[in-house]
Amino acid sequence: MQPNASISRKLREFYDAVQDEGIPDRFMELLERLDQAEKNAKSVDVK
Amino acid sequence: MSKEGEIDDRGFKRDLLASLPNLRAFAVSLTGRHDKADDLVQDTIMKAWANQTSFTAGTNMRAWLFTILRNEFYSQMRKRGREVQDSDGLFSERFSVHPEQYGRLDMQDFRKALDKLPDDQREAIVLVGAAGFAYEEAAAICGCAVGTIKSRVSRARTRLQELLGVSGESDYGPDAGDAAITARAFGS
Repeated sequence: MQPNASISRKLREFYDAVQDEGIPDRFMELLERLDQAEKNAKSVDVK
Repeated sequence: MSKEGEIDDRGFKRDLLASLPNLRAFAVSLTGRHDKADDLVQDTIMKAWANQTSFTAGTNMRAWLFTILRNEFYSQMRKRGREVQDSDGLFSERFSVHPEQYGRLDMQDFRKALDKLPDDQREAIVLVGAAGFAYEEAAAICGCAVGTIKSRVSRARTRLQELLGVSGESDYGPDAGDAAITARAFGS
């Protein structure tokens, strides 16, 4: 029981630490570019 | 139609963003390295974006993204051939780059132990024990039976206990962990 609980806690601790790093800028920029490319394609369609 | 499409697009991006920190933590768990994990996340975002239409709105986007990332991970591994894993080497490199991200020594030991698990056991225990998926969802993500996931999680726990129990306390035998806990509990 005890070792299992300690392993579960450590696993979550490790995982949460990575999650807490948030979203790196490169992904925000990538999504921005993807979004923009899609919008541009759509505005061409309309014209 | 196009208006609905736009609303869905915005929802798609929003949900994708909301899932990213969790998805990235899964990638770090699979690859064991931040740089490789981020490349994997980037490939996953591109793939997910290109396949937006195959995502059914209202269903679990997180599970969908995890499935894409996992498939991408294994298909890249197959393409490149299995890289020889030198866990200790990888970790010393990792820790020298981001020591502050891993904190205490016991967390470093845990990371090393996690990295030593077979891939199928590691992904199972991470999905169920940290990423917040039910056994059924984890089974769907890994494309296997629920019972298989359960047994992988169980084997992963046993293996981690062995690895962590032995590490640094091998002189005291298999019960060293319990002995240490008892010792601490009684303040000796």
